[in-house]
Amino acid sequence: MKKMLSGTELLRSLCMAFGPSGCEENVALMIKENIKGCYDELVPDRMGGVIALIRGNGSSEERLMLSAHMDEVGFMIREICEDGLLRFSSMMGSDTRIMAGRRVSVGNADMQVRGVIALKPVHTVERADRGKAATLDELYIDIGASSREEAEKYVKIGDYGTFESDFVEFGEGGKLIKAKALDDRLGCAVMIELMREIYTREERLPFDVYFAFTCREELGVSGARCASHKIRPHKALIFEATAVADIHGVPEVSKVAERGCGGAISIMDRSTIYDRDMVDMLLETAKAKNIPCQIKKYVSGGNDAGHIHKAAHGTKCAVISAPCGYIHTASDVIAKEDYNSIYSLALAAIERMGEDA
Amino acid sequence: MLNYLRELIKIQSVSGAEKNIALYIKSEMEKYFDECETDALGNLICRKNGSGKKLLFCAHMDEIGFIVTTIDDKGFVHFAPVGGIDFVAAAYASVAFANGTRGVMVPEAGLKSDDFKAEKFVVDIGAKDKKQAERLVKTGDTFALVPSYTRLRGNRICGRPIDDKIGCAILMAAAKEADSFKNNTTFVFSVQEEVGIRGSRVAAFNCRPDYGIALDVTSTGDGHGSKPMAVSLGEGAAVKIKDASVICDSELVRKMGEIAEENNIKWQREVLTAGGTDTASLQLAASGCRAGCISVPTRYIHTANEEIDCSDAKACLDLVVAIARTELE
Amino acid sequence: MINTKELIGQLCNIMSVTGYEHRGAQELTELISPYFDHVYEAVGGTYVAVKYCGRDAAPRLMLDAHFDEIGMIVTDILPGGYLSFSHMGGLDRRIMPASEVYIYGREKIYGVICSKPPHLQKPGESKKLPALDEMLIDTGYSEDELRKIVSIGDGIGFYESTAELLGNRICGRSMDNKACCAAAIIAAANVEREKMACDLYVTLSSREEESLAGGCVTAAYDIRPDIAIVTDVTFSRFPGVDDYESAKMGEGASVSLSAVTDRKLTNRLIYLAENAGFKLQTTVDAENTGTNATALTLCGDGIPCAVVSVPLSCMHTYNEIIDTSDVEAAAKLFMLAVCDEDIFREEY
Repeated sequence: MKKMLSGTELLRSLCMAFGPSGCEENVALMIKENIKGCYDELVPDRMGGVIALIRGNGSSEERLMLSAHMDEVGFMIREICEDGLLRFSSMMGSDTRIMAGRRVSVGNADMQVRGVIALKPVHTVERADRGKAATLDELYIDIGASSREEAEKYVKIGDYGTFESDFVEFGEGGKLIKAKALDDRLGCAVMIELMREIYTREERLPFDVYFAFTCREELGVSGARCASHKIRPHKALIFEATAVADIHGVPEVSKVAERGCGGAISIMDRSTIYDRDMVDMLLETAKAKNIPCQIKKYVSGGNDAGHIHKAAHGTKCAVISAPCGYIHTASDVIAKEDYNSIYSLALAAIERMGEDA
Repeated sequence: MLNYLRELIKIQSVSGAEKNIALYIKSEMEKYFDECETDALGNLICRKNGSGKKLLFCAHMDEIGFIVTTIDDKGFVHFAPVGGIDFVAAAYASVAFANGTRGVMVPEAGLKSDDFKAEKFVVDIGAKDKKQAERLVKTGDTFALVPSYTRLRGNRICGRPIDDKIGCAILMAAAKEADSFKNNTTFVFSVQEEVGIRGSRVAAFNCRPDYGIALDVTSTGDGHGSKPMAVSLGEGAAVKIKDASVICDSELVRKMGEIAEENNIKWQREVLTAGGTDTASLQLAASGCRAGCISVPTRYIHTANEEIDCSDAKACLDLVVAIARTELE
Repeated sequence: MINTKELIGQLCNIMSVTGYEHRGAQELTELISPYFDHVYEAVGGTYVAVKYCGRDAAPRLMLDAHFDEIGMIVTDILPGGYLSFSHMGGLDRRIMPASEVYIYGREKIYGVICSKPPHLQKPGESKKLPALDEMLIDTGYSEDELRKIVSIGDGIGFYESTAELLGNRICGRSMDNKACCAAAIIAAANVEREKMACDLYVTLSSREEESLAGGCVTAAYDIRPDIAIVTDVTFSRFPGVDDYESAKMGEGASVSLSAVTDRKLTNRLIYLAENAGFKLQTTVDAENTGTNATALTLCGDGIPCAVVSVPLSCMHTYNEIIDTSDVEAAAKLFMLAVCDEDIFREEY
């Protein structure tokens, strides 16, 4: 058996995996490898997700669902041009400023090649247009092929793309991590570590815990919805990443969360009004155990909770988000200590729910 | 130094018409330097002979202004700008010609400030018709906003043109220390900087220095609504790292910083994202030289009231002298 | 034999942001010294590498490739460990947010250019490009610690090193102009001394990206070459770029047809290539070549110049793409020129 990775190394390998929305197989395989021997049962998921069950001691009928999404923002190839350049559709919004010039991986779960999101030289942009962002139509992926025939050996229409981005530890004492896909591989890593901890404990929790690693969150057509329908959880705890807006010059009222200050707990976002009891329980637990955490200060964004809380008979939801700078770019930036804080808070909260059951 | 500044401000020197100011500077410089001469373009080149490396300091004598193109039937004077003129700052200001004639700079009635440009302005010198006007002013005459020198609170002064008469004043004051200089030192008072860095290029080609250091003014980031910039009034001599025309020699920048530290001279680093200085031409003339620039932080450059802090100018002076006294390698 | 990809990778790894070319002096000198008789740094920061033919009073050919790369400069150090910056050379603002950089202070530290989260953007703002002075770099240091490492005026370079694409193509920062530097170095390394018709002065010149003149002209003033070939990158074919001003990647080097450069010298290069059995592409740059040649031509009493280019995609981004076969074609042309006696016999 492969050595199980943990902490930063686990996060590194998860982030480097190729897993745009709709093409999460590689991430799913990696997760399965890393949770081997840490669950009672794998629940089949028809959406391509990974659902693992750790049974409780039978004293409670309740089911707790933990959820994180495996997919990352990406692209889809829509045309292979005669000159070997690729045209693509964005699956990450239309802000070309964070795409142009970037290195990408293009292909599918079996094979990827490197490419660059190419654009015409800035020198040929009319002076009056120099302040405008490139449009998506002006961007191409160049994989180095000199003709359509050559390109087709490596890429076909409908193939996927993601950013290629190194995993970098930086800042004072290496306190920060920059990588692609920290949204939400960080959540996946936290869940993997939680499974290892919970499964190896002698004493079982009173309730069953389902660990759902879901697909296609970034598209909004969430795999979590189906997983939730299948599991029918009473409560769900979602691990996500959130924008922060903690940079210099942003007025205090516009800040969403701050890196290095622990997981961000949402009261409300555009998809969900979170269960107040669960939110209070998280905040009280953090206070009691002296674990850093913060309330997400801005009503924005949305996540799998939007689907989970409405699926089937309905589910009480809470979310713990990792504060993530420059989210949805090739350069997601998180603070290492937040990773630890989120793990500790989640574990303490699960224990607390066990005591309360 | 401030006495020199006051004198220099009084002598009008629009680019291309620097003869009178050169004469005044020469008369002072001759007291302290070995040779003082003007070259083909009118640059004043002053040499203090010495051994060692050739060190050149350069400040420009010219100021921005205007040149008369035509006089119309009503006696209004039409003109072209000489150098970078901000017409918002110039509108309705008093102007002076070299012969003492005064006038008012007026835009076309009803003109919005967004549409200000030279063709829409005339100077009203009070003449009742063309004939009367032509007795006072003729095509080709240069003129400028009326000079001024005002003391503000503390060490601050404002007026015009401080760009770059303050640089000239600093060099003239430094010249008094010439006997203690350790290098083969040349002071250049250059012409036609404001119209595209023309004079200093020729001067540098003729002098072939090993080190070339310009003295000029720079913007600050501490004014009312200024663009961000890490230069402030009162924080000392600004040692230029880059402006739009030049990237200074990094070795010389390091050395200048070091000399400032050793001599307890207050200094700040300057990265200017616009504007150009004589530094560019010093760097590129002939085989080139190690080029740098010492700047006096200045607010409201190219307006009727350019503001500086005299303690900064003093720091610049101290730095010039300290560099001249350091044997360069 | 020199491995072209490897050499370009090594050259790209030497930080040479405009104005900071000296930072890599030692690395560069060690890298190229084996191929030259004499390597020195001229006053303006240009590296001059000479290979002599061994005869007295031989003519001099200057082969100029600018060595600097686009980058940035620290303009201020801000609370929270953020840096503001300005450009060194022409930056492409279309690609800046979330880009990765190294700041070259007392030590080299990593940083990310901040992007504004969507909820703080006004509608339509993502279609506009922020001005440089509205962007910040996140370093992950406290302000106090950062001030110990970084000073105003320090250089900033992009992060990306060289990576392979399909076939002969590679991508990374500063292919403009390390690819052409490599072509010049390869030519000098491979040309046999006995066959050389001139002394070869390769100038890896400074400050092209900021001034289109910089260190090339001052170095030339001392070298006083009989003729000069400037080698720089040109646009590759790309949607939105005209054919006349671009060359096809993978189809060899290209020469510039311009009123600024010397047409006889340019034609001689075309002839030399054809004679040796390969073709050169052409671009038309009527009034300005956009290279050092424009200023170099006017240096001293004038230097006849030609411009030889390598096609490059994504110019002035941190992932510029080139085809190494084009670099090798350029090197081959330079070797022919260095060995051609007639090139100096023309009446200029």
